[in-house]
Amino acid sequence: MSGVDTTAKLVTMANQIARNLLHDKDPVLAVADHIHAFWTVRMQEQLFAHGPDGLDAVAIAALERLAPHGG
Amino acid sequence: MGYEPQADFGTPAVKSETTVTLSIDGRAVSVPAGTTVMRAAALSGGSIPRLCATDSLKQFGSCRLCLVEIDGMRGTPASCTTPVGAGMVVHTETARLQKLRRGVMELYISDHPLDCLTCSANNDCELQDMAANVGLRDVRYGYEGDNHLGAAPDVSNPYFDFDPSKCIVCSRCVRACDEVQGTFALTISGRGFGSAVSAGLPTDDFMSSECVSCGACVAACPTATLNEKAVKDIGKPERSVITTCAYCGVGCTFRAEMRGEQVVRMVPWKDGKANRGHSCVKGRFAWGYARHQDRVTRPMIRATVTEPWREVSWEEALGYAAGEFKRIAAQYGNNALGGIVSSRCTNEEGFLVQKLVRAGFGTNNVDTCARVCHSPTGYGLKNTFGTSAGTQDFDSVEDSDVMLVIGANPTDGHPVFASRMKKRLRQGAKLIVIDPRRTDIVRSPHIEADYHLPLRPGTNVAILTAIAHVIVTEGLVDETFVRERCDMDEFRDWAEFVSDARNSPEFLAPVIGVDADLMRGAARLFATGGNGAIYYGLGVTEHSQGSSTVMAIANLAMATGNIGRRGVGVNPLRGQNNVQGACDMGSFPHELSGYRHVSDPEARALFEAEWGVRIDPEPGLRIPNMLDAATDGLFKGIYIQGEDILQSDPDSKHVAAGLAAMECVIVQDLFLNETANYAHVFLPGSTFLEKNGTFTNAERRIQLVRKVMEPLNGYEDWEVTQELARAMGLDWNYAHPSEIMDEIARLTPTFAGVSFDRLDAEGSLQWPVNAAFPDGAPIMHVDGFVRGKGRFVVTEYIPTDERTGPRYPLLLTTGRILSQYNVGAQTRRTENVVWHEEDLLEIHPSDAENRGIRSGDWVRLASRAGETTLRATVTDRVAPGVVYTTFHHPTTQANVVTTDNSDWATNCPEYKVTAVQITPSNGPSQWQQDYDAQADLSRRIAVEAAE
Repeated sequence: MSGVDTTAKLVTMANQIARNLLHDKDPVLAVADHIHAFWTVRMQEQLFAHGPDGLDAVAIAALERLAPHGG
Repeated sequence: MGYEPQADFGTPAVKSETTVTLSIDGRAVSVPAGTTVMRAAALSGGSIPRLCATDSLKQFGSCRLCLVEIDGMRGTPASCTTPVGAGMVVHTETARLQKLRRGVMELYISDHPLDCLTCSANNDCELQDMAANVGLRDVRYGYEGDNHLGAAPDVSNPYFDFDPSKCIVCSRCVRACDEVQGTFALTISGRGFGSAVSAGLPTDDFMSSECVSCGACVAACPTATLNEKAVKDIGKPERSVITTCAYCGVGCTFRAEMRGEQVVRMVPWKDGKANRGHSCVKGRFAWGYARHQDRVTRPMIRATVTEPWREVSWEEALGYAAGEFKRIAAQYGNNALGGIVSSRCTNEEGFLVQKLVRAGFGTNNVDTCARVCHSPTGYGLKNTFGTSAGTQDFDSVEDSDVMLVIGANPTDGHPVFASRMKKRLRQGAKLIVIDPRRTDIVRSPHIEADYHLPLRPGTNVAILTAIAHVIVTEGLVDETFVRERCDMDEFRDWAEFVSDARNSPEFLAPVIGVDADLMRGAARLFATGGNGAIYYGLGVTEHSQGSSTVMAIANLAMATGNIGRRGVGVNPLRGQNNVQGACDMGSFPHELSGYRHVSDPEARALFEAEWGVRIDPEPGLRIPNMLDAATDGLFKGIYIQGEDILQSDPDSKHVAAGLAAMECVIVQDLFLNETANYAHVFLPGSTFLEKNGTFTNAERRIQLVRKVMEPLNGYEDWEVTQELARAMGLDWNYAHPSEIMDEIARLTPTFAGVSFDRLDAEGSLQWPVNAAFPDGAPIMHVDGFVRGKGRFVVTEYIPTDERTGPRYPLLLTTGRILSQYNVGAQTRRTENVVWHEEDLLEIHPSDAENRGIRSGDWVRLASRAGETTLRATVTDRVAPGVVYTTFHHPTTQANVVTTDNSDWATNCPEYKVTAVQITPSNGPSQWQQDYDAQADLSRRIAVEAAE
């Protein structure tokens, strides 16, 4: 097996997105829109289930904005 | 169509607003001013004898066969070097001229073998034609004197021979190498009678010379001196078919010259708008894989990958595949299935695969190999300009004054376009190269980059921001362009950001590893040097900030006003032949064809009405996410057409684990590729020579691929997909790929005006082709950006997580070389292996010395992801601290070393930055041994006869 932790990867991805969209006028919205546009519902749900551990503040806020969609 | 040589007007076309009318043999002829008499005669249907002239080369005036008489002019001027004049009266056939020409021909033939009947160029030889043309009946000089008839042939090149006994020293080959290819490998050595074509030094033959085997000299040769070995082996072609090359994103068009079902040779089509009659060693010669013994032509299935394959009928294979996919969908849900579209297959084939996934599997889990190459281009250019494609055509380079080449190695990756770049550079255009390696375009004959910025891998965004800093703070912004064409609020935010002192070249120099003055000089040159064009490749996209780099490039082009006209623009050099097309066709999991998001209800409604199914409004899984989901037990079946993800995708161990975790892997390919080691169903594929369809190249040019021979497996790839769809219960009834294109046109606004009939009539079309652009758009964003106002995006430099340290102190970057293509599945099965039979590790002399490594030594290449072994070559092409290798050979498995780091926006893998250590080695790694054992086990085919 590859030993890859998918949830840890998703945390990394979300943080990468947050850090690269930090200069947007509304970074939280931009991150939420990006994840909504490119991630499957299941990937979003995996991250919701994981919770905020290891996530940047902007990523956490974006996930909170997305949460109703994922739920 | 029967075999006819391509039209040749003797000298190149001339562009002029002024028309000149003259008389040639009593016919009134009107041509652009500056046209030669020879060309004018040819354009009017005449034919002046010639040997040293051909319209792909500048006039030379050496053979003295094309003499004419012109009223009022003394003597008999050479028509190839005499420009037309208004009112000129030209005579091309007079008794005097006939006598002169016969005398010239007599001299040529007096030192030429009289073996026409057994010569490979018999009936396809300009010398033979000209001898007949001038009425040569006798050679008075005999053959007893000194001659060249005993000169030994040079057969060192695998694809063509050089027979000096047949050479007339017309210099066409030398001039083709200089003017067309730009390699300057050939010369005329000696003087007078001793003059001879020479490849480099007297001790060189073609193989040991700098010749890159582009074939330009062979195409230019008017005799059998330079002739394809295949012509000698097979005979003269008897028909030809125009088709499009299946190698890189340049999209060269070729005449497949055939004899029966055999390709005799592929000759670049002079009317091809992408290649303008030129070719490279891959497209010109490396098509032998189509008939290679490794081709698998019968379908095969097996229940587990440890079993040998069992050859079965198409019905059984398709029935088994469909049954397994239906079972998986019923057991795990539709989202446990997915598919991968090939960038090597046609638009029509790609469209059908994504349609099968969306309409048949009922999921958006479809992706394409653009994921691992140019997906950041799509994201970055759509965000900034509004269109996921490059802005120019290739011809645009003729008007460029400054070229900025970043993260691209065009002489190896896109050699035919590189020749056009080099031609413009020889005319005086300036060149800035941003690349960690000293690639060939940095310094080659008659070309030297004005600036080479050998940045540290992973710092693209930093260096582009530093360049932008100079442009903004030194007042070099094209304010008029920005004010009229771009969103000013976003520009101001961006300008403020890049102006910050922390983004200055001086501040960032330690990070980038390039002297600040060099960055400042390059920035000033780009901003003030005239038409500035940016060309980039995978050295831009395959980074954790690939999308940011694309947007930083777009920022730079907008800030300097270099968008919307010839000579400028943002030009992604696409890797595979149809990667642009695969992206256009809706192969991404979040987009339908024409880059419309699946959440767009209007776009979905179009497809739902046409296909009669519901389209999922949520995006599907990308390739790496499919593999993650597979190892998590959530993704169970995949249909892969024409891709080899086990070799091409990063972190091979994870790819293997993902594939191994699936219950049904369907691979459709020419060969049992590496991915097929984990497949349960193998569906034989067809080559580009065996199918009809279209490819779209890097300049958005849609061109026809025409079948020149029947598929060895019995079916074109689109037919196989259709049969799989039918087996799954879909009522598909396409009779020809043109019907698929008609559907694409109905559903895709940018393709609305595209049809096979138009492509056949017009040769090619550059999308968008619709009501707004009825004839296509060679240059985009001419009057405004597709998105409205151009969008400046702040691109903060964020270092990659991949860091060097004591255990892994060097940075590995990967790429390709001229003779091999992608995973090498095609080129490794041709004679191209003589130039590159294995992947080598380039390492700087100081790094090599520190480790006791010499060229040719086996070394262990290890990263946090894995390790492999390969041989080293010590070179200062790479900077200290950087090593480089290619990924063309499965025995090396370079991607076992690369990590799963990826671009933040698109998950394009970060192939270009891997922290590694190099140590001496004496044998293959454990991974390589295990891999070979597994591959050998997996590739067994049961001996029992198929039904």
